Amino acid sequence: MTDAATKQRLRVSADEAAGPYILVPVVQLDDVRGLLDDRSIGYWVEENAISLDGAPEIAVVNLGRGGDAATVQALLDSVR
Amino acid sequence: MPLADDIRALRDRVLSDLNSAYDYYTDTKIAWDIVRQVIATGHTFSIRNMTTQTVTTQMDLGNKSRAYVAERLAEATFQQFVSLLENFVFDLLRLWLMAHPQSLSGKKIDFRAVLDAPDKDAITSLVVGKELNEILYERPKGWFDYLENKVHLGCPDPDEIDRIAEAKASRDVLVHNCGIASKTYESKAGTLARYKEGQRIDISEHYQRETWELIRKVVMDLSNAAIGKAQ
Repeated sequence: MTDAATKQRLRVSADEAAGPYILVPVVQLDDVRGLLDDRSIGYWVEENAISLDGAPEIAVVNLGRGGDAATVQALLDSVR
Repeated sequence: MPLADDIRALRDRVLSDLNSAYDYYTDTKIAWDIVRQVIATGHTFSIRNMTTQTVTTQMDLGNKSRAYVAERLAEATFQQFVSLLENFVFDLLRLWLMAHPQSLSGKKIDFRAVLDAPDKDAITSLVVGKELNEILYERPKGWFDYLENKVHLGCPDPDEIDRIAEAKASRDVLVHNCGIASKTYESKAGTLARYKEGQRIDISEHYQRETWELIRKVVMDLSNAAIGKAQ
């Protein structure tokens, strides 16, 4: 899946303490949620969406400490 | 594990937790400093709560940030320091009493508890737990008097105990009285009371740092003295 804001590949970021997470433009949040829901992958979305210098709002999707970053990255990569 | 090793492990864990709590304070402060610098250099941002739809701008956050650091962050980490000390004192006592239960030989328990216990260690643990629960509600001077009576470590010194008593009284005010000093605070804090009844207590960075240093010293001194006795 391509990040609508940066036009780069949407990436799963690693965080040893809190688990992997994805920075998602709010306009694509429902698409990402749908993908994760279809595969019954656990996640939670942070309440606050942040816009820097007028750029599109970004939300954070957390996969949790046990989140499988590789599987979710493959899932995101499988979608245009 | 021999008692000395257990105490060493406890000391190292608590000192690491104290460092971690202090790092959290400084790292969070730095993060807020960066936010203020970003704002000062003309960057803008808005934060929309997707649940409430409340929007916070850089101006709102910048205005709130100083109070967040000076009050809430300092108070939260200060409370954590005091809790770590409290847990340490009781963990140390538990380790000592489990290794030297003879000092509790006069204690009485229900015969039912003996019948239900799988072994002697479980009975000892029950008696020690009951004993410590009674001490827990005493003031810090009571904790340290008890510790001295059981283990004879010769520390902390009376001045340090008074300072810990005041810090614990401040912590209790933050947790139980919305940060407003009361007569109970004045009584618990004794001659080192920093506030009078009705005043809002302040956890300044200087006071918070001094308390952290005091707690580290007390943890080190008590641990090292207890390790020396246990060997």
